[in-house]
Amino acid sequence: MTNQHKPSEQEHFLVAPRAPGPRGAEALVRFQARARQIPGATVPDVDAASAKRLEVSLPPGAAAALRSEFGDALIFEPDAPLGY
Amino acid sequence: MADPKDKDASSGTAAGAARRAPGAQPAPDAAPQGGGSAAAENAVGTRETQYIIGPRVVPGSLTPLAAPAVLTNVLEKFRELPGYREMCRLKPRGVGLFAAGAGAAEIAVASTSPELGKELEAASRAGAPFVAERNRVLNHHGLAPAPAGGADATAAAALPGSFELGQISFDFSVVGADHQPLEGAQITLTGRRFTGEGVTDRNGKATVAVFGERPSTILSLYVKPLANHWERFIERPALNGSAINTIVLQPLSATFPNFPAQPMLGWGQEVMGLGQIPSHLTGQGVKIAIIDSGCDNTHPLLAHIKNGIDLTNQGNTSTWARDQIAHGTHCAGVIAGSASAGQGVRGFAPGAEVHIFKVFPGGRFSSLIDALDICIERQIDVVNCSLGSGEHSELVQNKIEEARQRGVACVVAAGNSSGPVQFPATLPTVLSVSALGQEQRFPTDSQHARTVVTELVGLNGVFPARFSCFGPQIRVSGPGVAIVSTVPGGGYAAWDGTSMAAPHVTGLAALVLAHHPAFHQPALRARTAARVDSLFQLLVAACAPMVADPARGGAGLPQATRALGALAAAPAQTAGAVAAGPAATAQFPQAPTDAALLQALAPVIAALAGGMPAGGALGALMGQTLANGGAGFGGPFAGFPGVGFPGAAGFAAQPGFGFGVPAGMPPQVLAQLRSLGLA
Repeated sequence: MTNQHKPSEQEHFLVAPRAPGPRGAEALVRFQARARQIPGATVPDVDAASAKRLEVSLPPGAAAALRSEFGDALIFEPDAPLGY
Repeated sequence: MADPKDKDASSGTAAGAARRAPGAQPAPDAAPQGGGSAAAENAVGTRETQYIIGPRVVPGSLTPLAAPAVLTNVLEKFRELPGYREMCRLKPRGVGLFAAGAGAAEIAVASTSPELGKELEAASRAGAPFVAERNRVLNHHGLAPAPAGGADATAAAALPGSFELGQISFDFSVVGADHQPLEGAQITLTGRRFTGEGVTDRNGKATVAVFGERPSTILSLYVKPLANHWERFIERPALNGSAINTIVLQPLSATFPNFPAQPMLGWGQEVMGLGQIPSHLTGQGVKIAIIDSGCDNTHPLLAHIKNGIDLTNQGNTSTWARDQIAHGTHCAGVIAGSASAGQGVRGFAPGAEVHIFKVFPGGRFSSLIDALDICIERQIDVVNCSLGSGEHSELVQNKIEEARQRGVACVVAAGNSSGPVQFPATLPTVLSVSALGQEQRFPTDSQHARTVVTELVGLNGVFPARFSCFGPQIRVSGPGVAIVSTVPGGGYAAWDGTSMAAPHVTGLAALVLAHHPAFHQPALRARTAARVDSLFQLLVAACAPMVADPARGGAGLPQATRALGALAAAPAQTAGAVAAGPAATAQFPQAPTDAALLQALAPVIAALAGGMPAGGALGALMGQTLANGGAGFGGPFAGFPGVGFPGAAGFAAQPGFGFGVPAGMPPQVLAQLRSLGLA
């Protein structure tokens, strides 16, 4: 089956622990693993346990479930374009 | 090509096309006509305008102020005016009691030159016995069905009437004053429904197509040169679809003699008092970051900038100097353009160590966070953020707070959407900057002129720029209209934006950190939030209020002389370091009193309390700052020879109008009315 998700259709997000400490780091690791299971998602191949944040791309509609699942422990926000 | 049926498409040969508004750039010299197979040329000016002219009636009735026969005489006299072309008369229908038309008077439909049209409108407003008003294009309000083809369906489907018009295109030639072709000029045609854009090739030529418009519905033509010339904005351009439409742009050197060979201060640096402080204060020892589109350090004024990182290219440490957008290079010139280059426009802090963080094109919140992380790591002192978003980011907010705690001060442009302040300028932890302009610093036929908010023009012709975002978050303002600075390729360009205003403040902030003795004391030398807060407080306290509304201008325009305290009392720059023109007469209004300054610095006092011995840095801060008193505010502007564009001679700018309005009845119309005994 071909990947139906074009890059232009993906949504970019920034994800980071709400607070420093093991709970946030552990949530980020679980988030990384969970996001990798989503078809079309682009998740950086970094050590989430020591990362300050993750920049991920998700297909439309995928963010809501992740936000509800990890929202308590992680800041989950659009990586919005900047203007000049 | 243009619709040949469109009778309103001026060929450019009309008398009005060659005329120009006061202060406007001159129309091109006679362009070569004919000559073998070459296409005809059309020197683009403002096209003729249609008016309807009829009787003025007694208020509350249909009785004309003047007898119908007299009005007919007036209309006949108008036919003798140069630039007036009657197209038809609307005659009353019917007879007797059932006749239509007030008092059986006729209404003339006429096409006039822009100048005569304005005179007629002014006469009408002044109470002439006739009404002259624009014969405007009517719209119909039908709604088309939603496009069936999804996102790819043309938007024209929602705009009834567009299909039958099809596409029109115009050929352009953009040249300099001596008719040399100008490559890379952006041309924008704005119609009632759509816009069309093009960029000139190496021969200065471009073809611009617009869908669903007629030549008569093109609202404006905007030409933005790549470098070294003033832009041009022509309302209702007289375009010719079967000729090459020639746009002549005036060089910056026509305004600033011998520019850029002869160095000068930009008007922004001038009004902030950079010319009043010693030339050896250049920001040495301070690190400035510019988070933007890169910086072309092959420019003679920017060759001293050696540090940078390209966050659009995996952190490459060499490609940051490729600035495809030119925005970052322009900001860098304002902040740190080198005076030692012996040319161009000097920046505020050429002695500072500048670090370039390239995040455009394609910059996102993540790019900004990355850049700020590196700023913290490199112990940057001041960061210029001429960027923003309509969205909020908690993570960016946290990073900026972290930067503040580590002594990194963020100066942020408010945004250019004429609405609420944009993020991250909304944050209390940054210094948000709105944009000001000053009249007579730009040609009248430019986009710069359209940034003037006539009702808000203050003393000295300073005004809050129309595009600037506003709100309670605005802390200070900076010069942001017609700012001449560096662009890639070694040239200069005059640009507008809060993006241009913020670098002025960033540059001054660097000078304060480098040279104000208070920031050499241990308490404020330490990289803490107190250092950042004290810097912001000092800049705010050093402001001269320029506009009445603090939501638009914040505390005002920071003054170098006040911000640097007694240091600024030293002899100003020597002649030759920066050539200053003859002094102008304008002065800043409403200088803050010393009491107000003390009050503004109260948080600084609080921040420093306990950690500083009496008479230490606080004493230095207060003493040095207050020692200068208000001297800087009375200082003269240093004007540039030839900078002023002639105002509308004989016209008095009146609040409430968007342009200069004749004071009283125009002479040409007045003479005609007098000949008829009506005035």
